[in-house]
Amino acid sequence: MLPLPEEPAPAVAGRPVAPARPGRGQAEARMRDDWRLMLVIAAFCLVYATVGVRMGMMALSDPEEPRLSQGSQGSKPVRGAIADRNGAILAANLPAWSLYARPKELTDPAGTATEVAKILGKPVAEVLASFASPKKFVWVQRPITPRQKAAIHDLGRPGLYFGPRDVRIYPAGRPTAHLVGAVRAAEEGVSFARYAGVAGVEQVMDARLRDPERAGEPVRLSIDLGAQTALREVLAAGMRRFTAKGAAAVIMDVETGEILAMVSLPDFDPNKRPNEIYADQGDDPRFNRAAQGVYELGSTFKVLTAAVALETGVAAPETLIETGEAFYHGRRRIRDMHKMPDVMSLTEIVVRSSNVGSAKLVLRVGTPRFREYLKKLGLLSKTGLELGEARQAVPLLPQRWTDLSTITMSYGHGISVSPVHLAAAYATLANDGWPVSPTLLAGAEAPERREGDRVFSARVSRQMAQILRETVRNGTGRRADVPGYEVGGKTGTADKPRPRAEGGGYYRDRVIATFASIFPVSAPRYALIVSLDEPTNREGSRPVREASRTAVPVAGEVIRRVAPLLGLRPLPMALPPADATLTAFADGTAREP
Amino acid sequence: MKRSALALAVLSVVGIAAWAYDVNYRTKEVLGEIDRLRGQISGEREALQVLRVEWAYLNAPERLTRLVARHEAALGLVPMAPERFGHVAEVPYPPQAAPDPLSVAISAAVSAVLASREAEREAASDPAGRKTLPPVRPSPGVRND
Repeated sequence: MLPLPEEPAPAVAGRPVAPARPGRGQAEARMRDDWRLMLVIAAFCLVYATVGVRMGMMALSDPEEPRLSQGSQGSKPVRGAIADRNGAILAANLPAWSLYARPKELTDPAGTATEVAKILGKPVAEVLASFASPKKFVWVQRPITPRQKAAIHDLGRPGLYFGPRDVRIYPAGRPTAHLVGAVRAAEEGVSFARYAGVAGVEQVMDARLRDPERAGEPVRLSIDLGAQTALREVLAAGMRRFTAKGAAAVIMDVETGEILAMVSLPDFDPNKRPNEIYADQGDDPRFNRAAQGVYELGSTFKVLTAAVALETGVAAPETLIETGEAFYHGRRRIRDMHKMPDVMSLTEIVVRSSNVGSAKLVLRVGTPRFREYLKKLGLLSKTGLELGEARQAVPLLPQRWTDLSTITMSYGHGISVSPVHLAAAYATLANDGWPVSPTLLAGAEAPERREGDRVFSARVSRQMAQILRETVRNGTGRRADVPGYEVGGKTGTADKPRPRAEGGGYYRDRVIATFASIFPVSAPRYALIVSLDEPTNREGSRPVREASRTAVPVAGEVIRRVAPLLGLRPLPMALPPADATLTAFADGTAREP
Repeated sequence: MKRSALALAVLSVVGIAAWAYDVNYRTKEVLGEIDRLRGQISGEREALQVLRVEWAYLNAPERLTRLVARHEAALGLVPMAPERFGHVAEVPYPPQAAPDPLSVAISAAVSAVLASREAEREAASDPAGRKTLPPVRPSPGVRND
């Protein structure tokens, strides 16, 4: 541009119409041309930019099949199914319909409401109230059954519409209630409902279940539906027999940590999930006692104490400990419920369940090391179980971990964990001491074995298995000794803590009876925890609450019923000697010895 | 020359237009067909899903248990227990069948007759010149494996 020195600054207010001077006219024309040129350039730029952006969009956007959405019935967002380890469906979407109305289009709201209410089994007033809404669109009922849909369709009333809508169905019903969890509609429109998991596996696996890429392949759980149903049946029978308030049981594969069955009672129908609010969480049927609740599990911890004592080398199975008398630690008196022999070996301490013996053993181990082992066993943190509720199962530990805390923990008081925690700890013990982390997903691989992670040596694992077997053969677990399954386990009877509002301390007549076991002992496959809340055995002359008379018989029945379903054959050692069998048959007598 | 080129051009335009028209309509028809098939596929998928869920519901162990309990008399099914597992050692040898009296009598008679003949023959022939039978060999054409 040429400098225009003679050009005065343009007047701001009122442009003076100056007479055209030769130099000035040329400059003006030039400016106008420049401006036009710029306009043309801008227009071209715009066009090219549009084309460029469009091309970019086409290049970047995902390829889309033409005409995908038209002609398809049913709601679009599909949630994947949940199946058990054998592929039996535990949760799936079922195409159904919802009924909505456009109140403005209703010709006879009162008549329509009466007829619709009759078909749906709802009060007429409720339907009529929804029809009276000033909104353009109101839901009448969702979902409705195909029969209801047909009946409403046959009414031929204007203003009523159906929208496709999936419903979430749990075909296995009650046995899986606590596992599958629940969903609620996160988003819903006329033609779809998108669900979000709010409990159980549905909650934890929500992203995976929603993933449209994998909607066709179900999430496979480690649960065996047959075993799960049988476990629930046996546990429910046991709960009734001992008039318990609740019960929980877990069966875990000791090698992979897969949970094959997990039951919490009382339960509910997952298709009609209750939504009452309970003052006491323990009364809520939705509360998962197996994975969500933490309890003092009592003497079952003595096994872990003994294992730690063996592993740290402070004692051997034959090491003798003085157990005859109660002793004081500080001001706290550590004593046994029953009179114990003056001296017992470590094996006997576990078999006869001596608090004094456990306390003395753990004092030899020392608080830091004991704590370290509990941590390695996963008893000090949440389990990684794939249930929304399991995240709440934070073990309750003393605020200040003193030697006294260690002593009480050695026999299972002062530490509250969930039955799943205990199952994982026993599984670790049975799995040659390799740590096991509980999972609900099928196909879990045994984690890579690094020597640094190992909790117990194979020797300790074998020794403890023998001690557990001894407890079942000759100790408190006798009623769970199922022939052929070499059950090994330990009972625990813990007084229930009294709520602070009622004075604190412990109840004298309310216990949590637990039996923690592994089987078969010679080559452990499964860990089983059975826990009954406030059981009472009234079969004898006086009511008994000890686990040996409550949880143990239930656990025995569980093993009898469930182990065959899991394909575990009884060991042939349960069979009589060969010639005895033959003579028995020659006599034509009964098969069983 | 120029005119014929023009005529050719016009003809080709008409021809191409007709072809484009045809392709357009065929495409629309195929798209309609795709829609129909997609609709059908999603309908079938939905039906499959309904059947799967129904299968799962009908085969839920809890329901089967109820049915088994109801038809206890006809079915006589019991829960699987450890005793149901067998072991080879438990399988008895087949009992020796009680001998048929008739065949016992016949074989006794036969052996008695044979014994008496043998005795006769032994008495008649020289005891030293007893012939030995050649060993039995399988015929070459028969494979025994």
